[in-house]
Amino acid sequence: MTANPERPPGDPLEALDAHIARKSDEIRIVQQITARIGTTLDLDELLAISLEALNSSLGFEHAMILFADEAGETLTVAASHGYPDAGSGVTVPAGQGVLGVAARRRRITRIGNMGAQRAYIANVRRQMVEAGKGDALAAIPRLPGLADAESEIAIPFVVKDRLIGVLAVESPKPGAFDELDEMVLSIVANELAHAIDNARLHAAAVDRSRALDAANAALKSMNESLERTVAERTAELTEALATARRESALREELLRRMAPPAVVPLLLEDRLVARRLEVSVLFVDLMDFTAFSSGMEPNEVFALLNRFFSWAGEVIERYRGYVNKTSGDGIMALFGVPFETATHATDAALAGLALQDELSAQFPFAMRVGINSGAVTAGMLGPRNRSTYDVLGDAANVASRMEELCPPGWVAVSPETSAAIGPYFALSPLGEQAIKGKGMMECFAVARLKPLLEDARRVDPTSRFATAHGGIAAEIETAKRARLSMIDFASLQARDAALGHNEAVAAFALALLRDLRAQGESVAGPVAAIDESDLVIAALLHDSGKHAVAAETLNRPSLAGAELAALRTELREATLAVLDRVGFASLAPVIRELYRFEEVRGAEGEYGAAAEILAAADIYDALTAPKRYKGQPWRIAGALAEIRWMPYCARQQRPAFETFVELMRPKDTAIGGGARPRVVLR
Amino acid sequence: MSGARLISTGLLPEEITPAMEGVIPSTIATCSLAGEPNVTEISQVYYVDANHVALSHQFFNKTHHNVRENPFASVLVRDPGTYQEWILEVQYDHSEESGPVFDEMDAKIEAIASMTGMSGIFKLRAADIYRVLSVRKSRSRETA
Repeated sequence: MTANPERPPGDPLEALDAHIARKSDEIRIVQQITARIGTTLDLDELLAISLEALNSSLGFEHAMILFADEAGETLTVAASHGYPDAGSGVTVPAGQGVLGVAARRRRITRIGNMGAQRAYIANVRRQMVEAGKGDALAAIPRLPGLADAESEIAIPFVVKDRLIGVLAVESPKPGAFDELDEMVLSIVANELAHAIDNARLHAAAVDRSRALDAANAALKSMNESLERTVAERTAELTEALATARRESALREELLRRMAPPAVVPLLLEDRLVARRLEVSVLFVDLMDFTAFSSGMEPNEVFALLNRFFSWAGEVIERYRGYVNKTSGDGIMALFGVPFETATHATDAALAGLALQDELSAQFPFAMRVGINSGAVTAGMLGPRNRSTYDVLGDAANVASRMEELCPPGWVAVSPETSAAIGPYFALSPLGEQAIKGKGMMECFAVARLKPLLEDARRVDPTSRFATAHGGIAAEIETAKRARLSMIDFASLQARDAALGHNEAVAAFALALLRDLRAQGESVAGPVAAIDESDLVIAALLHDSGKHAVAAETLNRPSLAGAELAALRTELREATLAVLDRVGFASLAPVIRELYRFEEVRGAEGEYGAAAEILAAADIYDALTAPKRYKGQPWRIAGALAEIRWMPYCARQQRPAFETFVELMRPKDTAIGGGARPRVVLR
Repeated sequence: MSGARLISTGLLPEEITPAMEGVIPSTIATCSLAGEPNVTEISQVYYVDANHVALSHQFFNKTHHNVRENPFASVLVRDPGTYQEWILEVQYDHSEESGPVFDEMDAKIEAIASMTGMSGIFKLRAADIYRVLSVRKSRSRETA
């Protein structure tokens, strides 16, 4: 409000001129300000520009801008100018103070006498308090702005009928703002309100866009992270599984070192209990190994011994033995553990013979082997966590003693063992030996498997087979070595103690074929086409499927009915598979015929000559074999009589079987007649 | 009151408005029907238009009582910038409890009352509208 010096003070025209001049000035300035306000969409910048312009262009030094919340209930300082404390974030309830009332009522409020009015009302308040009515009074609020403001204009920002904030301009001078100021500020505020709204809309759009971008990025990252997590988790699980398998395998491997594989599952479940078993115990000891190895480096000694143990262990396991422990250069092995077997004694004897037979090809030293059979108690023995499968009992001590008294290169057996293996093995007497705690015992050395012609239970020395076909056994051995060297007949036969069975069947069959051919045309004709070599191979391999059948099943007593039929089928199929594998698939038909014949004992239909010959030889050797499940073996005459009693032969002309009886019968014994015996065939 | 008053067409001149901002309390003299005068300070005489002013009616008091018996009153207002005193002869016309004049006066009172915790207690009951009968600058000021 500048006065014109040309005119006296108080002149109405002068005042009017000044007023018009100021108004046009201010309108120009407002235009400038609103133009500047329109240049930015950034809210903070917008507020800063506006407050700065209000100060520099229009002289409103103290101003603040507050934003209303959504409900219009509170106002928060967004920007200010001309205050010692910027006051940003200070919140005022709508309805409090000049700006609060302006916002609540959505009307411009201009006051120029705040000090006087405040003093007046404060006086009224004091009187009320003194009159005891203070309880009804509200607390005096703390409001942003100048503490000593005298003048204030507050202008609400209303956009699209919605309160978005308030502009407040203050002055410590009374009556600082007039109606023109009010008008100017309302124009600026109106522009500012719309600019704020636009800036907010823009910011919201930007925010939405950013949020969308962020959401997209988060989604992408989440997908990637999910894939990564799945991959990592899968890898972890795979690793854990592999570790578990490794640990499980390791544990089993460790347990296998402590006990026979068959008890490992029991050990894993902690179900193994000590039990009493009939077993054979085998001891091996190297002769003069200490002297032998005296010039060797310790490493060499250990390497040699370990190689020896590995080799011996393999031989022992071939006959279902279990190396229980080694001690120095000695070995203790158990047969018939952890579950009792019918063949532990023959298995041990076969293992002992194999060890001695094969040693010289492997190692430059000699050894002693001792075997005893008897009752022991078997179970896990030793300190906790270091226990191993072991046996307790005199039987082990006697076996150790057998090894001590054994001549180098031999296998010594106790009376108990020799009784069990006698039918199969040629034994040499070792005389009466003193056994600690047992007194004197008749001991033997195992020489070899009993040769066919020496096996009186199979071949009567007066029989035609013994007298006319003495060289056949050697022929069979030759054929076996030449054509079936890949088959380990000893371990195959050990499975059910049918020692020498395959060779015997082959020898009997070949002798029978030759005797049939020596007869008249009516008998020789049907067998003319049979190839001797094929017959021998078929005889040798007729039960070679035994390797695939559980030894426990093979040796189970009183197997009958469906179980027996299942065993026959299993054995036949496994045998046919062996034929196929070793190149004799062409023999499958005759083997099938043999199995069919034996199942029904020739009761149904006709059979080929080769099958009849094999059946006669196989049934005879089976009947005379000393098997535990059959009890005592048949005598030769009884076995031959049984063959004549078979349905196939009864009251029929069966040259193959009649000739077989003639081949095997003791010279002075007639076969036939008498009561029909009962027998179970396998 | 927000209307342009560049050229006064009534009794109250443009230059009196600073004296009606309430910066310096005003003085009002009334007289009862019985002839008993009453002079008192009032915080603000509100400018309504060139021929009318308004007084706030917040409490029942003697001024309020007197003008309803005897509508004539004399008001002295002072310009805080020049200390010029103006003497107005006014006649109580009517009382408004709503409308633009009431709202503006009410907002101002509410604004101040809320600052001192007196919202709802210190409030405008009515805006008493007076017609201006005459206006003059005080002699004492002019002779000074």
